[in-house]
Amino acid sequence: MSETKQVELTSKDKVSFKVDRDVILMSGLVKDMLEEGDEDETPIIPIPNVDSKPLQKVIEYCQYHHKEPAQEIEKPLKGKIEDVICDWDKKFLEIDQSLLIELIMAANYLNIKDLLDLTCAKVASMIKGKSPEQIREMFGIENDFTPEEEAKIREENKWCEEA
Amino acid sequence: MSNKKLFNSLVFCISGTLSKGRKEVENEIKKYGGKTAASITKAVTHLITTEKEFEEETTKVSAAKEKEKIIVKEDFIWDSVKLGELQPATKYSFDNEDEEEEEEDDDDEADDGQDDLDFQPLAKKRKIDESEVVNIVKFTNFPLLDDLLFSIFKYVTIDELLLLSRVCKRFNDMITNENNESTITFLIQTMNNYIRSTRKVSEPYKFFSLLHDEQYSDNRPVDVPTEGEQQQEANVAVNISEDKLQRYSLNFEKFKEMVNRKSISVEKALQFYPNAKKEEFTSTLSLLESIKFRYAYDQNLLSSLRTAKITNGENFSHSFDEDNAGENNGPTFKGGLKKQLRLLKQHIESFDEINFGRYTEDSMDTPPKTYSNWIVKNSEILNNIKSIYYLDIDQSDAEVSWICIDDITPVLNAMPKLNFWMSKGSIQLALSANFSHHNLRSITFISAGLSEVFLRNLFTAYLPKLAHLELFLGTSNQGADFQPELLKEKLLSPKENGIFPSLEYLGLRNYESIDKICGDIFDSSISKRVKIIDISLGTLSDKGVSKFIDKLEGGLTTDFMGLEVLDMNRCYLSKSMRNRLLELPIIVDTQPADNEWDVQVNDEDDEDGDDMGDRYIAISE
Repeated sequence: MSETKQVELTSKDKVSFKVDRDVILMSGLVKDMLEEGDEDETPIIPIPNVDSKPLQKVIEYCQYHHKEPAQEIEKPLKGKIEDVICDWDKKFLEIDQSLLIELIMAANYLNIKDLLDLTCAKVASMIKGKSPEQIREMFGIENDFTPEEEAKIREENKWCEEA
Repeated sequence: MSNKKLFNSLVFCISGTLSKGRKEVENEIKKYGGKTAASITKAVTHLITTEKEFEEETTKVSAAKEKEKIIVKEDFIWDSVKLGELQPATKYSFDNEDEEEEEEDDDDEADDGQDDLDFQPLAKKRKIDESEVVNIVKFTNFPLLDDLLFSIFKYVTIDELLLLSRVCKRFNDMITNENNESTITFLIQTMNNYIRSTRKVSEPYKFFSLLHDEQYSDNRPVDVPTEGEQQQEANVAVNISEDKLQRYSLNFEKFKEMVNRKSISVEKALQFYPNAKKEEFTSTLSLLESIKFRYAYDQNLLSSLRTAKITNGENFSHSFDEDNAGENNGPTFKGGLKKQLRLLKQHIESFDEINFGRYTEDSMDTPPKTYSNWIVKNSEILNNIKSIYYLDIDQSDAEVSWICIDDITPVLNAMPKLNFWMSKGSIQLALSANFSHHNLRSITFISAGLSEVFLRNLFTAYLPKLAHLELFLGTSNQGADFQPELLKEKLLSPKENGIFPSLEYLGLRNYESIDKICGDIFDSSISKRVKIIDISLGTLSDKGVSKFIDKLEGGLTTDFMGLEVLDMNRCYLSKSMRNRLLELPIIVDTQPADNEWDVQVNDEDDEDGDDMGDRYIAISE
């Protein structure tokens, strides 16, 4: 019986992770790189844009979902994301918000569509029920509108906004 | 180190006695770049108040809540100044549980002790999830997500998207600047996701209920055959399927072509209307505006608006009909008509829609002056009303043809911000010549017969945002004194004449001569730029359909590429014609009148004869 082939990923902060090749093939980036390399070796793939903490989470996600494909998340998200994802994903998303952002960037860089969808939908879900001011506060976004500009936009949308 | 721009772009209003003098607090705000206001104006961003004022819900607190201003304790100011950065407002907010109940208590008092006030807006206000707001962690890396924002935005609802456009200029530009190809791509995706989430093959009733008010449509069969099933063997009226819904989706090519057609129409309109301004047609060519209209129209039809119903029909049988248990047919307020209107005036900010119902205990053959006078007199407070149903009178109280509606020009002029208009009745119905309204997006006239004068004035009215035109044209026996040629001349011109450039839905319903104008409809320029053509509830027969079906079969990828739905509900078609229509790659409704699934074609009928045989329109009295 042949041994499971592995791949070694090296994070931005020089931490190495050995992971099954089948698992990490969920990453479009890694898949492309492996196709260019030698099949017989255990390749070492540098991931220079991703720190070890989010990379570990990415591997955790792939280890679960390479056998249990993720369900497509509805667009738009009508309720909270927790209502439409599996229990494993719910637990997976119990992370602090800065790690969530790092995960989005990692998923995008590594080209893992399902993980990108999950994390983006999570951020969208966090917007629910918030006012523009609360969204600014939550994401640390500066309000660069003058009060007049903001009032004008509000007036333009007033006719079709929910009561 | 002090931050002199700490309160830049913030405008504070103060209510109650604070720990320092008001002047001193205002000076402190101004010292750090903020502004102050004496009342809750549009520009105000924060209300600074005390626990006592908040509990008592003073005028300013009430206004701030209503206008969704941030309400905070004064420590918000002192802590922000002390720490040199703006503190999260939620840390200084008041517990606002039972907000709505308190509002109603206050309302009772304001009504001078009247204890019979009993109303609830039909749609509730959005509740803020406070538990999430408390644990605020700033996304310091958020700007790095710039390229991924569309990936996040694609999961938000239309309502949330509009909120996001108010967060910062970057978001606003991404969502609204349709000169960017990436914005157009995103908006096309948003439109398609919205359509897919609201219109499903498994819910054909809901699909049609989002086209127009369904009160007069005949029931359609519930079982819609899946692809490949033998439609010919079953009594099938609609052909809704995944393939047809796919056509409902927008793509880049279709979007560009439809914008091009509308642009030509706008140019013609600018020539035709001497006072027209190009900027008034900006929304005509905007995809975001089209999405907003579809969303708002759906909300309107799904009764998501907060509706006040005024009627003196509270004691009539339909209110107590057990079959209608749970339906709120009665008035929103208790009491006589004048008292209801007085209470409505007091609570006008709680409503988006007013439904004016039965106004007299006699037959409705006198003009509804009580309503029209009230609207004109209270014009200034009606700016937030989005939708009006004028004379929503049950058939058991009065037939449509009995209802006297009068000249609606003063009523519409009194509500320049109104978006949706629906009315019932046509006796004395009039609209002044050269009428204009800059915000009407949908108009529906339910009648048994519209007059020539009224139609002429309507077809020359300046309505730059009109997207939904639904006319119950009626019968000559009940006031439809116009010749079919009038429609061709004014509305259905083969050459683009700039009439209603924003139109997406063209409804010529309940018309006794629909067969005669079918050819004109599909030869018209307007039919090539709308999404929905509705010729239901009339006397449509094979003769009418034969005038356009060849054009449709050959033109759905060219002339009629934008057409999504053809509604012929309650028609008189033969089985073979129905089957031919069902094969079209657009969604059609061919539900027969009187459940007659195979009307025999009488070849001896005179082509242009007026003999309707056994055919009659849905509302003829």
